[in-house]
Amino acid sequence: MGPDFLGGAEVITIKDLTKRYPNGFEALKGVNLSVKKGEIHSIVGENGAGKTTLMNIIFGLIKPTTGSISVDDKEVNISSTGKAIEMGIGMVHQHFMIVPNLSVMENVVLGSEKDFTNFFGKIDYKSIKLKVGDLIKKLKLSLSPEDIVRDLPIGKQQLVEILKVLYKGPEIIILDEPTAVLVPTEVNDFLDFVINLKNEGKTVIFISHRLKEVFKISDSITVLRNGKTVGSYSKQDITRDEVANLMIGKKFDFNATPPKNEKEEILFSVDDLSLKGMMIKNISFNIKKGEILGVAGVEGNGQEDLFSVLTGDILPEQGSVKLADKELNKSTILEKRKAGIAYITDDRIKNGLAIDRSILENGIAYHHKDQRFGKVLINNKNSVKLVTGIVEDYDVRGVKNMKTPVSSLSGGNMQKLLVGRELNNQVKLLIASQPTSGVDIAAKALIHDSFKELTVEGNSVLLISSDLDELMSISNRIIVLYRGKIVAEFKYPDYDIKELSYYMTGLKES
Amino acid sequence: MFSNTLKKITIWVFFILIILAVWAVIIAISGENPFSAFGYILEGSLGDTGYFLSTLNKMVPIMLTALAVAIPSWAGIWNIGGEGQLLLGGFGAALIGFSINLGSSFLNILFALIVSALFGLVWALWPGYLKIKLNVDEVVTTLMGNYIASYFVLFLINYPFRDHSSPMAQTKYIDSSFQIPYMFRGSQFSYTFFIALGVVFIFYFIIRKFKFGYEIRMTGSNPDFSKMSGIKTKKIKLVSMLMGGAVAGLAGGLLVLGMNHRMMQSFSPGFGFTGLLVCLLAFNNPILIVFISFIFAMLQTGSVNLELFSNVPAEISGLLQAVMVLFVSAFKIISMRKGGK
Ligand SMILES: Nc1ncnc2c1ncn2[C@@H]1O[C@H](COP(=O)(O)OP(=O)(O)OP(=O)(O)O)[C@@H](O)[C@H]1O
Ligand SMILES: [Mg+2]
Repeated sequence: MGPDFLGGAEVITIKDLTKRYPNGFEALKGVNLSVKKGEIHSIVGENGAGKTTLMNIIFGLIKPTTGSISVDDKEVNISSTGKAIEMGIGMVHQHFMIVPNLSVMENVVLGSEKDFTNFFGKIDYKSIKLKVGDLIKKLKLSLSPEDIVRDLPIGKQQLVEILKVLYKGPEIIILDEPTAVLVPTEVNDFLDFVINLKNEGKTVIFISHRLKEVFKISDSITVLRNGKTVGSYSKQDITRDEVANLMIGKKFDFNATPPKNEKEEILFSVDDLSLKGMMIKNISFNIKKGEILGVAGVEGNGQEDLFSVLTGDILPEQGSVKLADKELNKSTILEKRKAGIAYITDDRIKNGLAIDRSILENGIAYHHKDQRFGKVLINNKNSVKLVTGIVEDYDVRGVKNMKTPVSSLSGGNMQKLLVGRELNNQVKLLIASQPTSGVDIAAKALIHDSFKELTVEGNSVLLISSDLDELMSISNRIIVLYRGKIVAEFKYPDYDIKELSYYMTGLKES
Repeated sequence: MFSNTLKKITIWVFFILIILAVWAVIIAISGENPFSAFGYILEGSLGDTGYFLSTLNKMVPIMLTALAVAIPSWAGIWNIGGEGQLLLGGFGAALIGFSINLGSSFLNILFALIVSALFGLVWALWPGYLKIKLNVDEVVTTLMGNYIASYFVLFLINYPFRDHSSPMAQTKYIDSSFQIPYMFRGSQFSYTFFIALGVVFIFYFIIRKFKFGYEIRMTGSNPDFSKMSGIKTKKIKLVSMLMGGAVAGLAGGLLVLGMNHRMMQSFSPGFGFTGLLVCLLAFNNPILIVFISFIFAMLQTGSVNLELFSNVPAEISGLLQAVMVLFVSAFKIISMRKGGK
């Protein structure tokens, strides 16, 4: 290999890497990768292909079973994350690693707070604020050092993750699905930000399921399938379709039209809903039987609050929420679920799964209230039956044993388990927020198909998503939230992406 | 799979050897041959039937107070109040034992044990309630509760319920119909041990197999998610706290009915705190709690013998326990890092 005319020298070279997890699962079965200095190198592959595993190995979080890693042409043993950071490697993880109760600056210096501690052990917050503030300015991020992370929208929390990594001044930056939680407008800014990093001479390894993004910023693309490298390509030498085919190993048709199962009868209605101190003001809408209603909006315009109200987590002071004429405004989540509402939350780690409990335990959550799963004792047979069904129907991969913790699943497969569990209820209305975050193209189609299938029997979906393509491809109708109000409504097929974005960003008001 | 278990066992064996080595050094420093010292401890705790039975007896309060920490911690809430709950439970049992009689020994014992559990439960109720209603830190309230309970019981046995015929602060003896009978001549070993062991296994079963246990586990692992799944997490937390209190109270009741037969000053040498340590060392696991309680009980009974036959003070058992705690915590941290996210 050696130096190359077009790119720089190789900064990371990986040969015949394999990884067998303690439970015997072979996540990597022979991976080769070479990353050149100063390039943006994307890694793509299905859920469970081994992307995160590979990155965790490069970052010293886990050890490979066999194979070699060289950094700057020297074979190295990256035995800890400390070592990786010393070598100039930084990583933004697929799932958040920041501490929600701390401020932005505390999170950033966490682990290096010694640099700001004086002889008596007192931490000098002024200089922390100054230093972190400077970095924020330099990177042109819209963050403030003293904000508490918990109060920030997910998109901004992601920026805190990145800030934390960049603070250590890495030369090689690994980004594991950084855009999965971002809304389209944020994504573009973010991609520009990544390109900027490259312009400053940094090397970036980028992971995403959205090939559009991959093709926008990469110099090279490596495709992983089933723990093996399928190949590495220069962006100019390959097309999006070719990459998609290499990823799944078969041709893939994306059938993207909303279902036609709408009836006249109204299933769910929200009337004049308001929340003090929250983003929601006098919201009214309804959903017909068999309809998929999309909710579009830039994050932070009321989607999260709307979701919280509809779960019963926050009680609204005004308005009504009705499912088939049953008033549910003041009822608990248990009563709402019993009435036939199922929920897919936008943050699987926070409140969609208990990742250190087993796949089985996670799969029966809420189902366990049903007598089928026993009155006093948990009925193990029915539990296993239910979860086996979910795992098969939703193609959850990497399940070797039902008793292993969910944390041993790849991010996308966790999401599939969560979606499968919710859809396995007697669902009249599904309220789904970012249901396909972090899942691959095939799984996304599978999830969309199962939404459409729901509508066949007159059940409905409220789909809150920041992915406009997703919204337009399966919603019968889309409403736009802006600053807590519904500012526009579109009906299939009259979707116009420009028009939608105008309303979303407040450039146009009704 | 197999090699992995083997690796784990090797690590544990190695780990135990290190602890033993450090113990040996400490004993050598205090001027005794470690091997003969270990010999005295072993002899004094397992050496003959009498010693062995008193070791098992010692396990009763340790095991139950450890369980009193474990149950709430499964649901993600801390009960540091085992000591106070145990004292009140003991007093409750004594109170019943010298003041009423239901006519049959079985009923008497049953009733006194229920009352002891209820006393412990009440002492866990207010910290639990403050936690779920006002989010008051339960670590602080349960810890504080220990001091309140301990002074309150001291007051009760000094003034209103003092046995005036005795020079010491203690209550009257409970009626003999309340005594849990000894099983062997010459030993204080009684059915209490089996009751305590039974309670541990019942909770082991509840947490693993019951729906209620499932809800406790899920709440402890991720309360936000549990709430989304329709689990009433506040109720679960409160109930598990109450169960913890009841189990600690029961420990006090068993001590009174099965051993001391009255409530007295220095009733507990800090069982509640030993239980807390045991629970931490056992990773909240009921089966491990039984084993580690056994080791602690061994050290405590064996060190009496050690003092008798050597010039090492019996307090050394506290030091040996501390070494164990230190190493297990270090081991825990290391394995946590290794297993890291
Ligand atoms: N700790 C673990 N123990 C056992 N198996 C694991 C563990 N972590 C991951 N795996 C398995 O290894 C495989 C690869 O997982 P990995 O997280 O690397 O996938 P990924 O390519 O990042 O997928 P995604 O796009 O869904 O994030 C998966 O099948 C997963 O179930
Ligand atoms: Mg991943």
